[in-house]
Amino acid sequence: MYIYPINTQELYQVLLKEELLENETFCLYFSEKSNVEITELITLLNDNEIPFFGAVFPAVIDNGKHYEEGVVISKIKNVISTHLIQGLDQNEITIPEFDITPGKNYCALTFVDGLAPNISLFLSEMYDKYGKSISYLGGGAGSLSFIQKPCVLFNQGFHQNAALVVIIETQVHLGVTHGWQKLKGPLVATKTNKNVIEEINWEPALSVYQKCILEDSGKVITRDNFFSIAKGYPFGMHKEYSECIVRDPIATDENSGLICVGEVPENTVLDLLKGERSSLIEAAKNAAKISRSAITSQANNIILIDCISRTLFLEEYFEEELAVIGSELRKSTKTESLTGALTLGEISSYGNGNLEFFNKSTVVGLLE
Amino acid sequence: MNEENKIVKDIFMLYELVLSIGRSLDLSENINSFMKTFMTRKNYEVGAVYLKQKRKSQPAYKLVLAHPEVRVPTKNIGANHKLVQMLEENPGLAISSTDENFDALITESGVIEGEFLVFRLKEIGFIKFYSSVRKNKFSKLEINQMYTVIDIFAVSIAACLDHKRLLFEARKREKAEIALIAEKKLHQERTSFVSAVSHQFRTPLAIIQSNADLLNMVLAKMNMHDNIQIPKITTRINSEIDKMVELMNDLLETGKMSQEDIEVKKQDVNIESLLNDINRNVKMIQKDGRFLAINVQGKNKNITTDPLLIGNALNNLISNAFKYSNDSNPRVDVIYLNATVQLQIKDEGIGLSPSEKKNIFKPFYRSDKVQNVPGTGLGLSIAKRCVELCSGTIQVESTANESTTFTIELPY
Repeated sequence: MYIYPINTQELYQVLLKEELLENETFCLYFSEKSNVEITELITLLNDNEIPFFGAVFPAVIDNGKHYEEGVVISKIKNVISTHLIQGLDQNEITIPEFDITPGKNYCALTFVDGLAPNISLFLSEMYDKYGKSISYLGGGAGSLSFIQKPCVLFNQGFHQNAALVVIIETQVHLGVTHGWQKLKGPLVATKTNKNVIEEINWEPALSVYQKCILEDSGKVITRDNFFSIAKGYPFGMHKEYSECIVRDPIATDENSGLICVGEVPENTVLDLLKGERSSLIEAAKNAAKISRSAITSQANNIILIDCISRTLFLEEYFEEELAVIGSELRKSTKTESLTGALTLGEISSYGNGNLEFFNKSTVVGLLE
Repeated sequence: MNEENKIVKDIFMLYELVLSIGRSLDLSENINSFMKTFMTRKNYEVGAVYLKQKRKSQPAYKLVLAHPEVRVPTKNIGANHKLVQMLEENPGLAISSTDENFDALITESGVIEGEFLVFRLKEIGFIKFYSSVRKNKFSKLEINQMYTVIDIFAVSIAACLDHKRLLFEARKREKAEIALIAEKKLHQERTSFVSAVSHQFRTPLAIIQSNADLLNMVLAKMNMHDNIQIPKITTRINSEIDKMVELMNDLLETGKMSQEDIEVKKQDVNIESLLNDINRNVKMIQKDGRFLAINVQGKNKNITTDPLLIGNALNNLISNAFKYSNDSNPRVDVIYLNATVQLQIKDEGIGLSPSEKKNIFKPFYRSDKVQNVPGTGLGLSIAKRCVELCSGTIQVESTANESTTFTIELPY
């Protein structure tokens, strides 16, 4: 359900009227422009003992449309527990004990501060502890201004540099793809610092990046026009028998380093990628197809996590991406419950390898 | 992809893998860095490193790191495990679920089908990966490509283990040094305390002694010496005071000797002259007619040593030789050897049993059979320390109830 409230009270009144079943919890997707004072809303919901969790994203999705303003309300069944993992700006991250029973199916719906520096480490630690006993689905919250501020919320507050892990007892079917293709490579990230590529091929990263883009497009990328051009030229980290893992450069730092969403380990071999509208939309359709391929009944919830930079790249054609996802899913399930967000990085355990933080990707999750 | 591009891609992949090795001397960090890079790039979902155990009582291989940890419940692998046997024959194995031995190699949870890739890490262990998604198992060419990388990884693990061992030893040494400093401090405090107490006792003892003498003088003046009880009492007082003074002198000497920074003042010493001086004192003290016999073998030669320390040691040993023998004359044999001079102090007295011999140089040790003979039990420990300060050695040979020989050997 989508709403663009005039203030916090209006949203609160809507939530009061939306009755929750005993095993349901509100999942709230806030866009950056929601007219809601989140700390005030938390107090109001806590006063009425209404269970909820959520995050603030650059934009939100409801039933085949995306919105840069307002709030999407979803109800999730069988939430077992909600865990806040703080200190993602630290090098040591402790993963709490999740209350899970072997043999049952669980989904960890994970909203993480997308501008925190140690997201891959956090995912790696979580995967190390729980492996395949849980399916993982989620994305990076935060502002498209790339200014870090509190962005994940539940009944114990509004947090930044943190991840919210919501354990749901359910079978989840996942599909994740991106459709970006190799333009140039291999290149080597010879010097990095977590999510900042400082050097490529032993030269300042920005100058190498500038040169590659100039060769391809004739455009000169600068600090001022960086994101408007860089949204079409991400990096890819190789992974055999799989699409490469994308890293999205979103800004430059004062030392000509490229700030990415997600870490880039030092000496990683990179390809410079380029997107075509058709390949991106085809990939999104494929993600939907993969997720619906194993479903055996109607989905209770459909969660779509799509990268904000796909919207910025596809512009008016992004609605086409949402449309093909919807039509593909409707071959197997009703799609009224399709909600989600446009994120700063995506999380999915699709495939069997290490749990990765994706960029510029489409993740479709069907919760049975 | 054409052949040239594939080679370039392979080289870059190997480059990345090699550079993920040895980025830390911490064992876990080093393994994690390589293992996770390999797993991400090659699309393996489980990785584990097992290292060989040194003790034969333990299982042959122990899991040191796995990712994800929850997928590897097998913490130990025995020498008879199929995997170990196969690795002995082949240092690199790629086994898929269609192969005969696949089931025998399962040490992870949740494995149904897929591929195992295992490499021997030289002689220190092995690394094992599992993937359920790889369409083709590692080819012979890919295994060959990996050998050099794996060898470098094995060397880096060995370096981490050495580093860990050296850190452990350094910490152990540091702890021992701290304990030693504390022990020295305690010893110093104890020595200072004993010295202080000994000094504090001197004054009252001197007063008691002078008062006992005064009492004797007063009795003499009063012509009361016929009362034989009182002189007996004053004699006992003086005798006990003498014992206490001796004990305090020895304690003070022991305290001095146990100090680390004791100054050894070496000079040219004619050992025979030194013995003659000691003998003169013995003659003055010894009232039973016995004397010290000095025999010399070889040509007289001066030695460079501290005459006070060596004199102290010889005085102690010679005085003991008289104290613990009754009828015979103790003797000192001076034997000039090429590099050293030996001084053998011999008596035909009560001798030492083997257990007494073992403890004879320990401070305050006194044999049960000499409890009636005056002494503090400190003399021999002082003598030993004096000799050692002069870079010499002291040894004892003895037969119980027959004889004892102490041999001091000093360099020129």
